[in-house]
Amino acid sequence: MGKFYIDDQEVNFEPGQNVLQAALKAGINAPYFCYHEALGSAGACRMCTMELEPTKEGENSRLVVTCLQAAQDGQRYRLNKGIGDHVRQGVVEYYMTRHPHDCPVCDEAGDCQLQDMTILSHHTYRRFKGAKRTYMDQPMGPLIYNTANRCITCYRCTRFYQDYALGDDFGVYASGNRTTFRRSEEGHFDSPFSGNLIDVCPTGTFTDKVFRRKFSRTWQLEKNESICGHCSVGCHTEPGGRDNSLRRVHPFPNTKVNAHFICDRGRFGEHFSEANDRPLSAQINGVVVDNQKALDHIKDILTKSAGRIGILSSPDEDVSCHYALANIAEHFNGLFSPFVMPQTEDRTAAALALSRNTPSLTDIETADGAIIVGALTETAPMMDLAVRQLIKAGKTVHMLHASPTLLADIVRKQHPDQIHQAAPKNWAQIISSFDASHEAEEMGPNLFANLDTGKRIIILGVAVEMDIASMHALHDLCQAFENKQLTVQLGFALNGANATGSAMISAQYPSKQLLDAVRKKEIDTLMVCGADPFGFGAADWLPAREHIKQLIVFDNVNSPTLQIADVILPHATWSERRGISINYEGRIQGFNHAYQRAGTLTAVNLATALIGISANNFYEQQHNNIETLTGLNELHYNGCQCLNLHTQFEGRAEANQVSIDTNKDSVQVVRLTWHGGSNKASYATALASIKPWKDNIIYLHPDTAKRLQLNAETKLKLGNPTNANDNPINRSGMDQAFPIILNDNVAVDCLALTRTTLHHVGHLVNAIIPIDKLSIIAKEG
Amino acid sequence: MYKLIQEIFGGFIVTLKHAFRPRDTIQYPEQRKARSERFRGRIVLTKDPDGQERCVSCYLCSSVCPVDCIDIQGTEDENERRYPAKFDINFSRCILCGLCEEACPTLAIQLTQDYEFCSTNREKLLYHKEDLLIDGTGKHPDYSFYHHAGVPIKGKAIGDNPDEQKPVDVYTNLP
Ligand code: SF4
Ligand code: SF4
Ligand code: FES
Repeated sequence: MGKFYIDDQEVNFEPGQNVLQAALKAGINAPYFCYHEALGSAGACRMCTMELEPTKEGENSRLVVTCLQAAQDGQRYRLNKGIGDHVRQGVVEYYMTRHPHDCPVCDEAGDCQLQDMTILSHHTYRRFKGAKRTYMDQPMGPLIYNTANRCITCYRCTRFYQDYALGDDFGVYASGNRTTFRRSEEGHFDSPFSGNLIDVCPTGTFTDKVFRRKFSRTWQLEKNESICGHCSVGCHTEPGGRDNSLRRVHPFPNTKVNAHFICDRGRFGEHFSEANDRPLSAQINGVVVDNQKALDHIKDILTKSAGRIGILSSPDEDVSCHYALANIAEHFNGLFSPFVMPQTEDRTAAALALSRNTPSLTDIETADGAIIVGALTETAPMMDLAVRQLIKAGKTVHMLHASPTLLADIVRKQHPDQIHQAAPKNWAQIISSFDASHEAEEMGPNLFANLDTGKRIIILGVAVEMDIASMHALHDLCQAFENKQLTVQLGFALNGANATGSAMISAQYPSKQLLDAVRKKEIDTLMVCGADPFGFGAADWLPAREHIKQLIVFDNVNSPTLQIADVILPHATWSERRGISINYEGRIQGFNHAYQRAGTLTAVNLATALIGISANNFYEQQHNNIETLTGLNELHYNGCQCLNLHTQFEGRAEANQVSIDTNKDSVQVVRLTWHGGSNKASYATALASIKPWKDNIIYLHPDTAKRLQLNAETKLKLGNPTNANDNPINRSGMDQAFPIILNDNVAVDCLALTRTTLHHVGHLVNAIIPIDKLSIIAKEG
Repeated sequence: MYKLIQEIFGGFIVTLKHAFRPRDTIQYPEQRKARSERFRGRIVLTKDPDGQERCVSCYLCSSVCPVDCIDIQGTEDENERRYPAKFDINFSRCILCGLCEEACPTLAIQLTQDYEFCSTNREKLLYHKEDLLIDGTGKHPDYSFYHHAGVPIKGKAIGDNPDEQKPVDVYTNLP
């Protein structure tokens, strides 16, 4: 800790900070382009030049590039007073000699660092009369729009894309005065973090293409800090809306979760709220009615069938929504559940109970090694970005996975021996054989043998892909490492943004109770909010549809369940309402609407209309409930408090241990997903258009194909799925035979299917199919 | 007494004097006053010399408008040329200050000489794009924003502007 001076103003700095960094921290309006808090200094733009006063008599002052200058005690800089201003004006003037001067049609304008710096340096007229250098713009897919002429070669984009996010399909081309930044070929980016180019680029070279067609200047948008509702990390975002619609999503920098960035699912997936088929008005039996009428109708139905009511929410909805619906269910003597499938509930609760000292994103970035189990990128992309920082720092990352995942591709390129590919049914066994004690020689991976005591390793699992036995195996592995004097942090990526909050509530409202009641025909009226019990991946529910006389769906996407509903109510999205979400660490994060959409309702509105509880009373009651449930007093919703996961979920890791069938004569179904494939984000049109997998195709490893004697000429039929009660399930795809595609990154003995394909065939994720149930059919023609 | 008489006749004389003075009042609407060239009346949106809409919906006019009476929603056509999908001016609010015209980088929005557009119905004073857009260039016959800005549109590729070089071949490192 020391201090230096800028224009006589005192600036405190920490050792290791550079002058620019310390000045910005101190709130000084210091100009810069290429420096970035997360990406560091590059010295590429010279915009941060200041004049350093001489220390000794007889010396001259000199110009210093402050982002590369380590702060030293007692130094005196001139920012506005010296000749630095003149130099910076020259820097900007030089950049502006080839700027296309197209601010009126540039989406960055108003939010543009180049504009700010131009004004800050007092450059006004372009004196240079020569012709401008130009580049062809490169088409970059449906998400990002490129205008290459606006670039000022600050290198922030490649420093983010290649160095920070470890992407390799984008980089710098040509040299000297012709330097430009682009993809190796036309088309969309491969990285799930490409949207951050829009924010890191200080100019309009990369702009948001989804925003482009419904563009508004930044000051016209209604914005607010919100929480991303697309995965269990719960990044802070800043959605901007106008005129009843979402226009764009930016990250909201904060030090607790995502310090600078968000993934493309959070940025472009939130546009599911703009899908053409989003339900935006209430309907009764297909007839559009106003909301009040629909609510009266529902009140009628609920009153009549009181005692035979079920309300089903989903981990994609927040805590307030759950509580409001649970209140309604209790008022009418019905059942409530925040989970559709008991299997998901059990896995989520078990994962939370087994978490140890859950790592935050910063913990992950700064660890000394990591073990990743499952498709992390595709479940919680920002956790993957944190792990990439480890890989970049040369730390060892081991990975065990069954379906293709981008993180494994990165690890594989550098250390193929650190990739372990196996069917999930074998995971428990493999994890137990990981040699933490460094003694056994069997199953070799002598994990972290070279780490000194006291180092910290991170273990991350993907809860929906793991059975409870393999979670226990991970937990035991922690113990083994701890015995070696290593610090271990174990966390799980969960399914659903508010999975933790849902699991907390489900202790009181178990999903099994509701599902059993439905199966026993004790439920006449089912209200569904955000869940899709008759659509993707919930085979157990389908046979129950016919006993349900009234299906009320309260949702914001046109899900298969909504399509067969009797009554539809339009639900606000997370950006459009107030709520509380609890992330994978147990972090309690409140959010408020960024903009409002006329005509939509929230669950709290429903509670007010149906059971007459006022919003104020509701929130007060909810606050007390959460306090009792979590044992936290002085509850805050700003994300600074975490649940104690261990006590909160105590005893829930034992529930329903499924016996694992490691039978060699079976194959296992695994989910084939990608970073845009979450429940809600898959309704976002632009994002969904770059989905890498095909539906109604079975992806498998060449060895599996050989074993099953499959080839390009044959198709595979999966046969009847068996559910818990062996109920017959009628699915369109059951009798259908699917062509196959070979993929080296699917584990042997696994069949990887997309959400839609899973839905068609009716199998659950991780279902085990005996080989004799499969049939191979020759392709016609 | 004398003072009283003086006041009465004094006033009378002033009245008489004015009766024979030339008149300031004109017989509107039969007679009209000449307006200055810079007169600021009803607002129009103009087209560029090629007959294309000039407005690129940059929102500068709506941002600068002190009474906030301009409402725009921009979009773009299939050639990525920007245009306003919605352009509303609420003339019951507009104070005809001309700041929008000054802010407009494309010279699209212009104030005209017309001031006769009152109405007894406020709704009729909300002008939409079809009421505002005229078929002509207005005060600036030659200007076209796209001939100066370095963005491509249909018929003008990158590097076609007189002040632009041809696009760089990015796949060579030769000087
Ligand atoms: S494209 Fe943007 S981020 Fe990349 S070098 Fe150019 S100005 Fe910098
Ligand atoms: S300032 Fe000109 S170009 Fe910009 S929105 Fe207004 S009329 Fe259109
Ligand atoms: S910020 Fe220092 S050189 Fe760019």
